[in-house]
Amino acid sequence: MSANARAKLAAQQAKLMQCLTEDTSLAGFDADRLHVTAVSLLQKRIRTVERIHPCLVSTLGTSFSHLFIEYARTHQIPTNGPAADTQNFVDFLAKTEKLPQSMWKAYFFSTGWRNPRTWWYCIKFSRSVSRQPQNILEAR
Amino acid sequence: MLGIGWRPELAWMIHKRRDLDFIEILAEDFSPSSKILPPIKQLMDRGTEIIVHGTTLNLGGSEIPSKDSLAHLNGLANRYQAKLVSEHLAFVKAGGLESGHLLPIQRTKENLEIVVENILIAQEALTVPLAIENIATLFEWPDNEMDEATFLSEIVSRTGVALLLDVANLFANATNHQFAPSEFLDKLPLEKLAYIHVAGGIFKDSLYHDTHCHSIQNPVLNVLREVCSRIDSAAVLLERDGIFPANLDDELNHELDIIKKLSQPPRLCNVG
Repeated sequence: MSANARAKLAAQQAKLMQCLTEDTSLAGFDADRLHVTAVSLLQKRIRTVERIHPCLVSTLGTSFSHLFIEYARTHQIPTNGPAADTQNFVDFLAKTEKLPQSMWKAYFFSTGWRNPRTWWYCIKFSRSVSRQPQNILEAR
Repeated sequence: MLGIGWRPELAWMIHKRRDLDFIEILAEDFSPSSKILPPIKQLMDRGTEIIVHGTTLNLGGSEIPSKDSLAHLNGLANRYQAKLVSEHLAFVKAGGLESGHLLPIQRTKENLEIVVENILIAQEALTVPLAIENIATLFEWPDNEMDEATFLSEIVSRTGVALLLDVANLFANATNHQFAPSEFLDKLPLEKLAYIHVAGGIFKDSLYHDTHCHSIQNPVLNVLREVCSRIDSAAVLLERDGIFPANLDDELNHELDIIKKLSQPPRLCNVG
């Protein structure tokens, strides 16, 4: 097969991929159908992260979808798979200070320690979390 | 033959169901160098066949299939003693971006040559036969030079690749792009059919979405019924990838019972 044909296909598919990622229209295509596809790809991406990190999803509750959509606006799907997408989302939550309090400690010991900015959050939130069981016992 | 796509959430339900002849494992979720998961090992020990099902080989992409991806599929096929590897007729990456799901290739003669070459390369590298699957799409490329069934048939005749027919995807495309599933089936080389996929989905704003997260719709079962009526025996596999409610076992068992009934050839009765 000629390299030209492959280059042509690469350009064609890259253009479509860009439009689907940015949810914009592309000449020659049905704009509504491209939009529905873009939404469906995002939903698929959300479901994949839900499967990989159910704990994060249940901790974030109803805000999970909104936060993920906010994240997806500025973060493409990484080339090394859905686990990396999930990690990037967690990093995004940490950077924007939206990571649930109960997850800071685990985040810090996995990757957050590399960034001194996260140290303060880890200390602050892990103290409040470690106090929780005592508070519960006291409440009883 | 009856099968189901193995997912961790379904492991117990699959373990309890004793009439499953085969399962699919998702290539992207397994490693050839890791130990075989105990629930899968148990299924293998009781004679359940394994098929390795991939989603990221990018057979419809502009680049030739990556050696690493093919080695991964081969490694899994060897590790799990799979008799078949299946993949999609789709592209999933382009221009440095990942789609996260399967996208259709424009059906032109030029692109047909590329796909044929990609499949021949994959077949050369794999030690087990390859089957390709039709995908569900919500949009069409402009200036397609042939319909999907013709494109698939050409690929099969040029490469000898086996066919994995997803009847839910066929129904989705027939609904979303307005053609009759029977016309599609007329053009397919059903003698090359390795097995069939069936899954659930939903209608939304007059479009059918193949979600793999909902129950199977009756029109999809009608397509399955029609396919089964055209072949001697069918191997049918149920896929469920998300939304696992508390009563899911009952729902899936019910669906498997229906599929089993449809896929078995009708018996002669009142003979003699």
